[in-house]
Amino acid sequence: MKAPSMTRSRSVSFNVTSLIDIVFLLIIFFLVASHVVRSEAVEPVDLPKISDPAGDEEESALRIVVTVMADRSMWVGGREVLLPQVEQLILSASQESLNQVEVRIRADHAATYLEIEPILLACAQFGVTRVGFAVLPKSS
Amino acid sequence: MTPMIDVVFLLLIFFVCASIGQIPESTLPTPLAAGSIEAADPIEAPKPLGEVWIRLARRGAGEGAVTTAEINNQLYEDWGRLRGTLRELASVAPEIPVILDIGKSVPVGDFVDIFDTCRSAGFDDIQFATDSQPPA
Repeated sequence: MKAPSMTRSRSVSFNVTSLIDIVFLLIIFFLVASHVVRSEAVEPVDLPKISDPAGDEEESALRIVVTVMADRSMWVGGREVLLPQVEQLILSASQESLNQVEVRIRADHAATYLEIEPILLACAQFGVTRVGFAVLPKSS
Repeated sequence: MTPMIDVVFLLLIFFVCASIGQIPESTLPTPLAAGSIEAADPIEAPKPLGEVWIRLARRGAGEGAVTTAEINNQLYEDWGRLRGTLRELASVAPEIPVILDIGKSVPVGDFVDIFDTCRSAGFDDIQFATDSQPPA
């Protein structure tokens, strides 16, 4: 009896083209969304320049970014705020989780110490030690 | 697959081009003393030889206003000389506390510059002076 030497098998294949399409669309969506969110949250300020900026530290979970414009206005999270509101934000963040709070001051180089001092004072009073100024590297 | 790869490469090029123009911001770390300011005791044993008080003030008005710096009551008009003095001090005794007494009208760019000079010179302890606060 002659046994069949080859069995004809039907190949099963998935059409993954549509899956890849959707995955790429999702990647593009998240890339665009994160880009837009990041650029909208940052108010344009002329940051001070220093010669040797340190690399960015690891981001803490509770980072408060206070932007101080040249016209002395303060912005947090895209909203214009007053000093008591900034103090309240720092206080509530420090009560939530003191060790993880970080205050980042994005101050225009033309803003004065008059606006910065109360923020530093509030941080010290509420026990927030991680404070940093946003700077740009000085082009040589 | 070919049109999809085309689109993906186009998007890749778009994001690469968009990110070229952006200068990444850095952080100048400014660690503060924790707790009540009045209770903070910055000097602990062994006591350092002294303190370096840097007073920054704004003199003049309008466009002609300049920021002046004094180290322990000695006026430095040339900031290059001021930086040199700070570097020499830090190389001799980096443990000396530096206290920045900044005038209210001093621009951020100037005091960040001095703060960065002290930091990069190697001083271990840089503090910000403040007026005593009324009790809450």
